Amino acid sequence: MGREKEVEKKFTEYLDRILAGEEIKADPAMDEELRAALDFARKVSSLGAVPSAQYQARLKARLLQKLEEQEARQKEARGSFWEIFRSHPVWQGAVALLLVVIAVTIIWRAGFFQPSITAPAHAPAATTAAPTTTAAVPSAGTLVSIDAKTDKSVYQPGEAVKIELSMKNVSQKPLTIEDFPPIMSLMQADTKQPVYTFPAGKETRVLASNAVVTFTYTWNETDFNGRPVNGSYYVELEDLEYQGHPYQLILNKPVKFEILR
Amino acid sequence: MNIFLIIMMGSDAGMVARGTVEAFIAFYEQYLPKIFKYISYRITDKFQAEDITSIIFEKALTKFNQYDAEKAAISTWIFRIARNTLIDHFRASGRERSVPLDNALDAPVKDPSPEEAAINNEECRTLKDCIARLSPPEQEIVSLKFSAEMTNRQIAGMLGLSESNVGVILYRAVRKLRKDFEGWSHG
Repeated sequence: MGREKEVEKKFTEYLDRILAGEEIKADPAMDEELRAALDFARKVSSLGAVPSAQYQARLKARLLQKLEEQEARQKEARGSFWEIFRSHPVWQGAVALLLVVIAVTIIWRAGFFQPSITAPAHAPAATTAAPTTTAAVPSAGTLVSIDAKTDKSVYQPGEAVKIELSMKNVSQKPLTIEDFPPIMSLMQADTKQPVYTFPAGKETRVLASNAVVTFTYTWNETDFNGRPVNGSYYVELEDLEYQGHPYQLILNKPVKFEILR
Repeated sequence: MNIFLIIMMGSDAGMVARGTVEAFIAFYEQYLPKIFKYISYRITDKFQAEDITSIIFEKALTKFNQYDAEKAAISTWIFRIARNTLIDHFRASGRERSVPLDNALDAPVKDPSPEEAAINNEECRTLKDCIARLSPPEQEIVSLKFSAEMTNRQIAGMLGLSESNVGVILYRAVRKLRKDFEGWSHG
């Protein structure tokens, strides 16, 4: 059984060499059955049919004609498409529109149009009236979550009041906050009127989803005219602008403090 | 990569068309003799073999620009087309083999004398008849081996057999052919 396998293997090796045009020298040690099989394989190989020259030429001419027809059809198909495209402005417009849509989609997906919120261009808020929001504008707290705290709850006259603000992006997408820090007003508790307003900053902060940014405002306890004040106060933030609409910045917890007389 | 892309890289559109023709001619001249030989091992009628070979190359022509060199060698690709065409032919004709003896194939001899030509034709006819008596897998392997000159591994890949199995079938088929052929020659 082992010898048979060896002979089969040798046969394949020799046959591949014969088919490759190699001359196999007679080996007296070669198995008789193997030698006979190889001799016969040579005969099988040499008796293979060849196509006649006329047939080869005829088929070649026919195939070339078909190939040219095939090429011409493809060229015509390409040509007719461009002809239609060139002569029909509607098609040109449709293709141009499609390209614009694709480009905008790519840019959008790349994140160039991240939502951005910014301080409004107008002067600091003087009232606390809530702005009208439209359905297209996210409601307060859906983009950013805002917390603020003072370093103390009661201050001596002339003492610096430190108010730390933190804003967290609670949306699923990165958020660009322009004019950071936002406008903050210090409101007198009795009159509910602002006594001092911190203007908007000039920085731009990009917040990844769930990222937090902080800023500390420092107030020297003077009003708009630079005069020292006292009493109870609370903090309010001015709305930001989001896609052309006001976006309310509402503190999660009210921040109140007192300045002694 | 597509065969045309290999040939045509950096060419203009006009060159692509001309290059396609050139590529196909080169392909045709290389594979026509092998395909015809392969078909002739299975179809002994010369005109039928020519018709089937023509069909194979027409199919190859329409699929030529779909050929992907990364998927298979071009020899495997064309022999697969040839094998499928042959299977379709056998299916349509309702038989596994075709053995008309009145149309002997041309034996490839160079300027043979009339006597040599007659002997060759006779031997060729006898051999075709012996091949036709082999089992279909044996016929398939013998014809692929001697026409396409494929390695056993390539044949195994094409037929879905193991390489060693192809070697065994081939060796036994050749021994069977030899005995059958000698029996006819001496009979």
